[in-house]
Amino acid sequence: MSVRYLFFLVGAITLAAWAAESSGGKYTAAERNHWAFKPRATPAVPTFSSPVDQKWAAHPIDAFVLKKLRDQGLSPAPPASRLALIRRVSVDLTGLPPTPEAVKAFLADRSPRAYEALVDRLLASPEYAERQARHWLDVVRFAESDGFEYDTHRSEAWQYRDYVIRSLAADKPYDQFLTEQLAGDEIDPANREMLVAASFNRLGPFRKNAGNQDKAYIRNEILTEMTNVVGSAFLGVTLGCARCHDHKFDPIRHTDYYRMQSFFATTEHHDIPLSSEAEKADWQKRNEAVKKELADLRKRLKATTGAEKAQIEQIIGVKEKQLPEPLPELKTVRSDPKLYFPVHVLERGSSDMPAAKMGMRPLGVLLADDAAEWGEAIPQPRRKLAAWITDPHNPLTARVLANRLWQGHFGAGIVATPNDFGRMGARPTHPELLDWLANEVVANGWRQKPLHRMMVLSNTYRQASVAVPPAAVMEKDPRNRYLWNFSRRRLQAEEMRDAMLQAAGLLNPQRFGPSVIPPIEPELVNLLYKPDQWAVTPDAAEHNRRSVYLFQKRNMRMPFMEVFDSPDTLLSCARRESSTHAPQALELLNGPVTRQAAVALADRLTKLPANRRIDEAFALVFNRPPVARERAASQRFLAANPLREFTLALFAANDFLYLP
Amino acid sequence: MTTRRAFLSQLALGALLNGQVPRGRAKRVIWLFMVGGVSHMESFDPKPELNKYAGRLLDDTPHHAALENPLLKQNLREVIAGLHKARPRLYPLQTGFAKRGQSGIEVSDWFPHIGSCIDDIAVVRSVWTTDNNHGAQMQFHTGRHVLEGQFPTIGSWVHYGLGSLNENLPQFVVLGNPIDPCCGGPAAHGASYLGPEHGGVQLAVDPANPLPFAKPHVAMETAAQRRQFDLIHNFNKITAGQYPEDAGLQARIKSYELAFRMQTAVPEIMRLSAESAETQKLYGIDHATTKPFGETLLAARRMAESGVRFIQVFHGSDGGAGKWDGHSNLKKTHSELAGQVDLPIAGLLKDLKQRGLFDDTLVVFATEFGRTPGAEGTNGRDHHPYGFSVWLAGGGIKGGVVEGATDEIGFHAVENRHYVTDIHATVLHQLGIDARKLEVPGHKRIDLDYGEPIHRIIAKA
Repeated sequence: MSVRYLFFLVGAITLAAWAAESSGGKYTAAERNHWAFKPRATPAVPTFSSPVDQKWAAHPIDAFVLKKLRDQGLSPAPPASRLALIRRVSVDLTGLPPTPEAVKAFLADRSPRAYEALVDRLLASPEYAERQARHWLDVVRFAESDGFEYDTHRSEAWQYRDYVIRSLAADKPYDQFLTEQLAGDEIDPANREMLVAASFNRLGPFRKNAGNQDKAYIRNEILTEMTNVVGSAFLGVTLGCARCHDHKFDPIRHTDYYRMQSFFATTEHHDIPLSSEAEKADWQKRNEAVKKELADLRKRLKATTGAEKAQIEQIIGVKEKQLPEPLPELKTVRSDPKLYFPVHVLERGSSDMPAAKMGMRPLGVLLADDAAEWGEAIPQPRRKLAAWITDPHNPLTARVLANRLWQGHFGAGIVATPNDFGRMGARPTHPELLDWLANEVVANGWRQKPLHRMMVLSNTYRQASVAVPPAAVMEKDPRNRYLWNFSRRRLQAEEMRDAMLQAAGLLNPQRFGPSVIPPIEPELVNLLYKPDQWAVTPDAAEHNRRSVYLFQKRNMRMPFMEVFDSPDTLLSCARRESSTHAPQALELLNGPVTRQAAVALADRLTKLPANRRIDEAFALVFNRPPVARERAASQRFLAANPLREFTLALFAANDFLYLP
Repeated sequence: MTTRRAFLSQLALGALLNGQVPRGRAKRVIWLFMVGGVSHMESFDPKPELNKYAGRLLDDTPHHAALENPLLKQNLREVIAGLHKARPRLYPLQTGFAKRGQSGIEVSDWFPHIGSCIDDIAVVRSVWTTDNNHGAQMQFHTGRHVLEGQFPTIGSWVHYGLGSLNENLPQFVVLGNPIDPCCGGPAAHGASYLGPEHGGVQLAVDPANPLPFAKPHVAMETAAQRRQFDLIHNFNKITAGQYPEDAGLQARIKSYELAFRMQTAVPEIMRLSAESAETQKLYGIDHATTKPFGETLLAARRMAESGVRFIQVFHGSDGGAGKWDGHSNLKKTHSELAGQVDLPIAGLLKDLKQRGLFDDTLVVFATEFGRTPGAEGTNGRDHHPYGFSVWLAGGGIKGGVVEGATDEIGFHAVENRHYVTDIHATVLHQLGIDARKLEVPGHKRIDLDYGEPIHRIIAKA
């Protein structure tokens, strides 16, 4: 524990001077010495004696990586081909493969700064923010419905998604980005943008129960969602594990959990209506009408028995589903000391077993022993929590961010478990590099683009995927943890769909605004509690917008997305799985997403002379020309089969599905 | 991608333990799950005391201690406090019961056909769970309370732990409507952190459309599709040729092969018309009441025969809590539902026996919880997690035995209590898998997840 960091915290507490209550919390040296809780080091950049190594390791990132490689007796791979590189970096940064024109231009640009210029162009493109937003939306479990039985839609949730995209496009400093999300309403309750940012606190699933309204129970559920995500998204600790008891593995006490939760003790849901008085009156009328019918039916239900009763129950079931969907409202939060709802330690996390009352205080292991609480109902509590999280000396925040960015480009984080830096999480493979990067995060004013830039410009990133690794290398590091080559990765579900639409010439680049509900198999819609919820967006052109703009419903993911490992949106998703199984093959070959793109691409190719179609198809789908064997196989196939089956085969091939 | 694959292949090897193939008595599982909560007292744990004290408040009977039992609180973890209660007024049995078979195990009159097979069945009458709402459906499959999130299901562990018996079919199949999202949805046949390749593949018992959501959108001849597969295969082999060490690329090639073969193999499996009239009759396909579930179970047997490892069959999903959820009209609804499943299930057991499949096919009959000994309203029973019945048959399980017991009114499991994961452990044990060796780094399993095999119902080899 750095003396400086302790001083910072103790100072803050002394100045605050709200509370004097001692927490009774002490931490052992072993607990405090866990790597993630220790202050960041300022590691010296490794140096090399051989000129070859010196050249390769010109950037500190490469120096740290090379040092580990050499320690393991490994060597970096040769650089990737320019064709591989442009596809890789385009998809990584923007989620879209390069167009044939972009590939041509890049290959033609012989300037030594050609790659740098490409990277800068991609970083400045609006598509960059759309892609990077997706990573963050995974982490914060963004969805546009409540989940659980009713899965009520949140008609305005897209505003948060747009806020994230705009923030990333502007390269808003992460400390500010984080603070706005946690406490935008406290920063400026009159500013719509800040209220939208604070709707972050409302992103979790929410169980609405028609019957029993146990206030304490519901309050507990809400606070649990708000608290847990602070741990997983910002701090990279499994805070939620301390809800029922002391954390089994990490120095997070049961009381720590409720002291963190206490920062939300004066926070409540704040729903800002967005409809006109006339719309409200109309809704009231429709709602009352159904409600009255329901009341009458329930009265009848009480008076009857037998077959008629069952019938009435059934009618009630149908009627309940006819209650109008809620009017649009911005679902955000507000905090007001007058709303104070005391937080107690809950035995086994259960709201009917409250124990001692808790005041606000961040994680004890990062404070001095027995650090005092900050108070119970202080003004702007979440803003204060955000200030603590984003303090440059907080050992977790910058590391967690740097690690997420690294994972985005190298497939695995330096810490392979980005939401868990605790003892049960993975250890960093390159601890010095992680600290160096985290220091860079802070030094660059918490801006993310400079970090992306240095990562994708590194020689480490620009290595080739080694075709046939020597047995000795595979024995030493089969999983490429030390980065002796580039790990090919499968495109994620959204990348796959967007790339298909782009290749087919269907991609609608329209940005921002309400989410699009695309048509989907009726069998699936009928499974919904209220099939009417799935109101397909009338303008068909919108159905072909980028996947980040598709409506994200908790109880139903598009089959294409689900089969390719899109997250379930119930919990923070730190890292997408990349699975391989037969239903994926069936979805690619038979599903509507691929089929539609394949047909459109075939139509696009039909306009070309027959002898140019194969090359153009390869340029659009694989972003490279075919090799002789591929051209021959394609010609043979096309002699006997329709073009649309050929284009579909391209979309189903590994060269499309994987990044080289 | 390579990471998971590499790890899985290591694990698969690990499961083979120094080259030894897991040698279980069972090779496959048919897992029957009744959705909504079957009354244990009116199925496999009849309680005449309920008739004796019918209509009396528990407090006025010699069994009043049930309400003072500390298990009443300890056993329970409610999602919504107070939503479901221990109903205090005892409700008489809604059907008769009789001793069945040589073993004389009592089974209710709603299940006469299963009763006729009782000498092949081990009834576990002391199962308990902790959720008194329908999240218990998922809980029965993952072993964890719904509030703790999603975990790998028993079928996915079997898939993960065992190799394939048939390269043409998925190894974990789901038949019947899966559980509604209210109660776990696909998570009740999902694989959670094991990865979706280990999840159950849902198939429809419809020869015209056995692979829901994955049929060609345009009619395509098999030959044409074969040509398309061949082209993809060609492309993939060229890529894979460049990266011969990449397990992910190889796995995808395999996945296409499986997908292609599934498109032929699955409709073939669903071609129930290939079965003799006699067999169809055995499953009740000749009667409207028993036809739907009979067809499902016949398809299940055909899959078992073809080498599918885990066949999870749901009965009673209705887009909500489930049809077995007898809050009211219990007599009518339960007797009808039992009528739909009783004969087909007995038919399945008999068919497995006559085909010599019974000894290595483990059949499990389960539900998420039992129902209250007391009445809900005038003619129903509420949810009851404190004690209920599950039975197992085949696959090296003893027949004609009863394990554990509830008290005299069917309230608490009092003797040899078994949490749901004991059923999982028993299944895995019979398959020759040591549940404690199934572990994924970074996903800590707790004791509860493993359960203990119920050795008393396992036959000596």
